[in-house]
Amino acid sequence: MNGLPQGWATISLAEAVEPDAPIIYGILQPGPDQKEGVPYVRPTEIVNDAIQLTELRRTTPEIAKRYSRSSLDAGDVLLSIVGTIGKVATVPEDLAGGNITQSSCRVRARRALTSTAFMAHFLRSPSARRQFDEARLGTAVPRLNLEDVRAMELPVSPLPEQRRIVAKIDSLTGKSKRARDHLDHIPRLVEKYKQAILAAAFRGDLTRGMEHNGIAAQGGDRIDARASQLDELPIGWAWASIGGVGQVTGGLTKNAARKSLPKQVPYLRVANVYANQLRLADIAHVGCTEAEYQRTLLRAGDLLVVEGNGSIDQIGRVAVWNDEVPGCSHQNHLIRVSLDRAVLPEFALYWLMSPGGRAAIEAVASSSSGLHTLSISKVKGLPIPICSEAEQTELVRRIKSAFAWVERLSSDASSSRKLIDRLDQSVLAKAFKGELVPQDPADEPASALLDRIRSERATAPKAKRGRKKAA
Amino acid sequence: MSTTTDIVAKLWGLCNVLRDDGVTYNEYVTELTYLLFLKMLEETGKEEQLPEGWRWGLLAKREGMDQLDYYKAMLLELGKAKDALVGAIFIDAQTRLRKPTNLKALTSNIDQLDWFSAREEGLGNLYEGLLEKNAADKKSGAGQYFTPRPLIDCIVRLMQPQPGEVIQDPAGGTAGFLVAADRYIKDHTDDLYTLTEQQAFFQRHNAFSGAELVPDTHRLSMMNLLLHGIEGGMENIDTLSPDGEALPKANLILTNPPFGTKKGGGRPTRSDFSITADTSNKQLAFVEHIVRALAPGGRAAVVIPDNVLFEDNTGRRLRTWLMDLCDLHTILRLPTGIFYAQGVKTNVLFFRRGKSDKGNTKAVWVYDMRANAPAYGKTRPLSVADFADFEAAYGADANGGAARQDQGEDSRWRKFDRAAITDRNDNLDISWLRDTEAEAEEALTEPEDIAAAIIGHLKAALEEIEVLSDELEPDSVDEAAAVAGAAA
Repeated sequence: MNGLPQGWATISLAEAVEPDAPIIYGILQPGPDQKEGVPYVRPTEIVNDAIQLTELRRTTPEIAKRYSRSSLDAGDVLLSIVGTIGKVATVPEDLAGGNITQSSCRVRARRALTSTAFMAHFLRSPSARRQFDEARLGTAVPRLNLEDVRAMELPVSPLPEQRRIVAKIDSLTGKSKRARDHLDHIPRLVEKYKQAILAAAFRGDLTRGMEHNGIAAQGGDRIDARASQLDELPIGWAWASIGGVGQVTGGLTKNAARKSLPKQVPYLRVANVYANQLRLADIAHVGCTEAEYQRTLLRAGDLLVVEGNGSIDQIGRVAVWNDEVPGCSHQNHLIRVSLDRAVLPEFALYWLMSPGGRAAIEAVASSSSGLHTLSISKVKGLPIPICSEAEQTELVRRIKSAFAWVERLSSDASSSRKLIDRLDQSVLAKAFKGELVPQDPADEPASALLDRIRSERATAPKAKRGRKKAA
Repeated sequence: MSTTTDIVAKLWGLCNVLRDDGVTYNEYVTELTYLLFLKMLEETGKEEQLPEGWRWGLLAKREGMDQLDYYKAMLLELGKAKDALVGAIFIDAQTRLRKPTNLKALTSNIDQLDWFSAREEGLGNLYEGLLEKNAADKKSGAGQYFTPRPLIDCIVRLMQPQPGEVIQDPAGGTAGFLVAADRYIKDHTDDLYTLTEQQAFFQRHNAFSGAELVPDTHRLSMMNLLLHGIEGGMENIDTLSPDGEALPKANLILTNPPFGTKKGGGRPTRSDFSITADTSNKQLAFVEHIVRALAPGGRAAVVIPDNVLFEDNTGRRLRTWLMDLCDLHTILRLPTGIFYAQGVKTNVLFFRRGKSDKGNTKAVWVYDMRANAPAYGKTRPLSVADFADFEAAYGADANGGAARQDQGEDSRWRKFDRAAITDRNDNLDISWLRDTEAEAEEALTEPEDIAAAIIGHLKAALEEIEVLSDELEPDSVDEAAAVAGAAA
């Protein structure tokens, strides 16, 4: 490493650990989980830089004893080296005496030279990640060789400066972590907000105060609110059924014979339709007769309702077709609703996405067999509240603008969330380039400290591949 | 409906009249302040405070453009009035009204109000009602200046302001704390009747002192105090500037300082600050002011956001210093969502300035009103009853000296001695009940409440990143060493 600041030195990771505790991985075959055994950490239990203590498995004391050389002490740093490489966590006091598997290694920072916190921060830094990438082996399951981990280069500053660096990183990453925690609430709240807006919309709250120009459900099957236990509606609104305000039809049934038909047409499947969203990257074709084609040809403004075969919250997900792919037909697992002019497609869409609409869908979709499905007749029977066209237009406009606001905000929040991760990385990068905190010429240079330690150890076993490059 | 709420509703209803004149809620309250003040002087026979030729009666009887012109000239003239109070209310006063009909609507409606009943109930209550309506309205943006009244009342009941005490609010807003303290004292002295004339004079003229930086808010606070029979006391100054040093030493400080960083990252300019001289974080600096402004033995209750409890570096030095100089006996963790404008997480610190400067805090009692709290908001507003359990636990002694009982890990009320807090590096963000914030938010149903929760999280995240970005500025070796020292 070149360009190290004054007083810094580079040493190998092998030299940065306590001489009696080399970098090592753990138990090869821990055997079945024991109730009262010795806990051991797998990389899966390292989440967000911490060990999930409640998830730990245990091995027998006999096996643990055989692997006593990889036993853990409080303050040891763990590094995952198989699968997801580079997860880092520090061993808490409760886990002293525990162990690890062969998928991670133990790094016990040498107190005379550095600290647990400095080591852990380094192993998360871009500098360490670059070295992981260079040393990575395996394609299906990436892994690091212990020899390569031991040979990694660690930049060390004078000890007082290390303490300043750690304090600064802790302070900065503490703030970024809290910011991240706050942003993690956003996606859930955004979904809730949308549901609340839809609920308010069909209670009439969004258009309160508008002139109500009479009931718009002429020609529709009026549902008696009391008889079917539907909620009371705002003045000027009425309950209708989907079948009463539109044509509900099925699509093409798939079978082997269709392959040989001369007429092949693009058609939508369940995989193309999500809640208020069409995914049209992959559109399949199917053979059909001219009569079938005329019957199932989609037209702009049709609603597509997913019939079933998923979990209950996926049934009845619905989107509006705006003739994105002209001449498109649809599969029988998508139920098509062609609405009368009296009902705006987006109005019906938002109703079917709203808490009230969802409740109605889920009520008819459940069955005794445990398989949840819709059918043409079930969709026909779904209730829908109707109001004047002017009010529908206004309502759709307000829902759209509320959704647009919250989606913009949500996408800003998620970009910020990603930027915070990058901020942490850049803080660590600066830290190990010696740019995060100022140097103090009065501090003992790392090279002097190293010389002292090495001469003290002259009688002890030799360090493996100590290298020194004092700047 | 009482007469006061009736009148408040009527006056508030008039606001809609002015919407088409482009008048915002805030401007409307200011406009009403001018007019109500003039009407009140007429009703109370104190019009001699006004310069000759400018009277409510002369204004109200005019019509059309003539009335609007008279009104404009009147505001200009009164801003120059010799009477200190009149001058303070009308300084830089300008009307936002452009249509003469709107002015007429206001003057005739104000003339028709049932002033007799309103005076019986107190004009002050009426005005407070208007301020509260304004704060509750999200569009006004006034919520940040407005501490929820049930919280203020709870704090005042616990702190038991006494006649003869100097009571200060260094971030006065619309003077809610001072007015509530005044009401408490009046309730306990038969409206000052049981006091000597000298004591009563002190209550009216010298008991209350405050500072409010924003000129328009300051105007509202003056009016609010005046309507409660308190003259002067609120200064239009920045507490964090040298002006703040001049505030008189207080026996009791009740305040809810502004949250956030000083605009443009400015530092306090107080020559007497040592702990927070380098921070742009306003609430930390306010805590330093409060400790310095307390007379020995004086007590304080301060609403602060969570970061004062856990912030490293300056925050931690401030807490250590506070716990040395004062007996920080109680922390109340407030529920989220109780402030009108934002979803910030707040606490109340209760402490007493020691007679010595060392080791005054022996133990801190924490009441967690936040965990498993209902989701407060539009559908479930905060009420006086919500504080009953906390008040019972706090006990009858204002300084937290009543016998208290730690109710264990499953309860909301626990004691942490000084050694335990030292073990936590003087981090006072103490919670032991399972965090169910996500569950509480799950219970929100109104779009407004959910939007407020979203904005709250975004603001909190923003604030963390702002402080972080501040901290990324290069330090000197000494500063860096101080940080390392504080963390050690």
